[in-house]
Amino acid sequence: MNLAQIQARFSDQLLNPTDAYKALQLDGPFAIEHLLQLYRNNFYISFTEYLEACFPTLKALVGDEFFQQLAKHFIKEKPLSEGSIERYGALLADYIQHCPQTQTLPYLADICRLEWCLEQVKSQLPDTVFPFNELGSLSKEEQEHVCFKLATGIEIIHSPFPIFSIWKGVKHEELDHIDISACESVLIYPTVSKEHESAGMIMTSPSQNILLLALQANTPLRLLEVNSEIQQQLTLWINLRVISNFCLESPQ
Amino acid sequence: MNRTPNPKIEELAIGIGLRSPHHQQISESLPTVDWLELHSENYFTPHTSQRNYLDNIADHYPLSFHGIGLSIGSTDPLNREHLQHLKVLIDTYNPALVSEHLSWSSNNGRYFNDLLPMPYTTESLEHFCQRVNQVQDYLGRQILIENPTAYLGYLQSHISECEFLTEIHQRTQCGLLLDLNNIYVNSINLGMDTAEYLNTIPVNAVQEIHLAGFTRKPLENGEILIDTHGTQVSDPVWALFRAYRQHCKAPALIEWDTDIPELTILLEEAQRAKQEQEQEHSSPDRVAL
Repeated sequence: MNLAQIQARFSDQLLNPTDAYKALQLDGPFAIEHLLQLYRNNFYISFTEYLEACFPTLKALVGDEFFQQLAKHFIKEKPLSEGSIERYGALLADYIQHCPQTQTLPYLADICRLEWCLEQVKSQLPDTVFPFNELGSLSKEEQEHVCFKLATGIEIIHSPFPIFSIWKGVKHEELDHIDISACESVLIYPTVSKEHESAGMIMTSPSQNILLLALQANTPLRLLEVNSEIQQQLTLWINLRVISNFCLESPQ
Repeated sequence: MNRTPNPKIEELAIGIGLRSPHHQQISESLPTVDWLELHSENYFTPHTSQRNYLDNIADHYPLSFHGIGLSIGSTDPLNREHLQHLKVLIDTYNPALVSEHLSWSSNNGRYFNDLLPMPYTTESLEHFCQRVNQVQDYLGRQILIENPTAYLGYLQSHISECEFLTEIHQRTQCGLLLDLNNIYVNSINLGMDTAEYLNTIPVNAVQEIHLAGFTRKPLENGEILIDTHGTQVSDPVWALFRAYRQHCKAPALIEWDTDIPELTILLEEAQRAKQEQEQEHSSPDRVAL
């Protein structure tokens, strides 16, 4: 058996233990099945622990046993395709979406998406402080042409389920009185914190979502019909570093 | 942005593994430790808090980049994207040492996030050397290869692990990273002779030493040592370290990867390593391996 065949058969044994391990002609101080089981455990446990760390809310919602099973199937069916495990969790939400065992809990995929975004945003550095002086130095007419820029790394999730309420409910162990038919949107943004990794999350209203969409489309202030509510909103997002910069719209 | 070259890691220097729970503390308090080693893969993504901490820390300590995901021993094609990330990281921080493992981690495009054992055959040796050459050529620098732990071997193996490593070094001019805990774990699990192992490895090839802890796992009819890197260095490994220090002055590292303790514990282990090697150098009666 050549090296490629050995590695292919060894890999098979990690995924589907069978008697075929005998062909590998392995040698060890204990029964080979038990020694192979050590490697199998390392493989599944390291992946499962990684998923548990990324998706604590999901785990709390489905319980330990279900999560373990879900992780096992996911790990088997969705191979890690790179040498670093850091981005592997990105595949879980889609897997849950199509997994027959989770169809009775249709909000799980979006909770998973929310937790993955939170995990990603946590590792992002917040953009530098908003250039207030530069904005202040613009004339009133110039300010009409200002397009605010959303910070890099922010995530916006729209869900037909109350994902923010569920996430918060799990965190505070208060899951009663959540209206499961409510749609919710959340905005997740990197924060400056003494903690080594940090992210902020706020629920956004339909009008705030419209404003976010407009900002994403580089809509200038002159087209935003700025009223006191929008002004307050823009100020808050600048303070939270959700808006990190601005530019002037290109002349027509 | 490329940074100024980091200083070399001195002989007899003792370092610790840089892990994310200690980023902030190390960055702010700059504790006294000779050098730091990090897992390269954890720093591939730019503009992250990880990289921000690394930027701060890199100005104060010599660094070593230790890889766990390149899968050098695999018969899959080398992962070019992974290599490219590694090269960018190396070119940015210019670490004193870069290392990987004598193992494989992937097959048919699937990665197992584990260091799986190689059969020690002529075919494996040729394959592994070819891959080390490819990696060194791409990175434009020497890498070190670390001896692995294994819980089983292949009947096909007709070369001992220490001879296999020595051949890799001689054929590719790579350096060696000798993990004394792995040698001890394999000696208990697989009956490997530690003295023979250490005497076979050419000392001048060894550019780094790892010290770590293991855990015991009961199995039917006995127990096996698991290379968890989650406890303090064991007495037998300290004894190996003292003995090996008679011959080898390569920088040594306290490696701790699971159940990561307070930074002070790691620093105390590093301090102990210093004491162990000082004791060894001041002792008139030296112990043979």
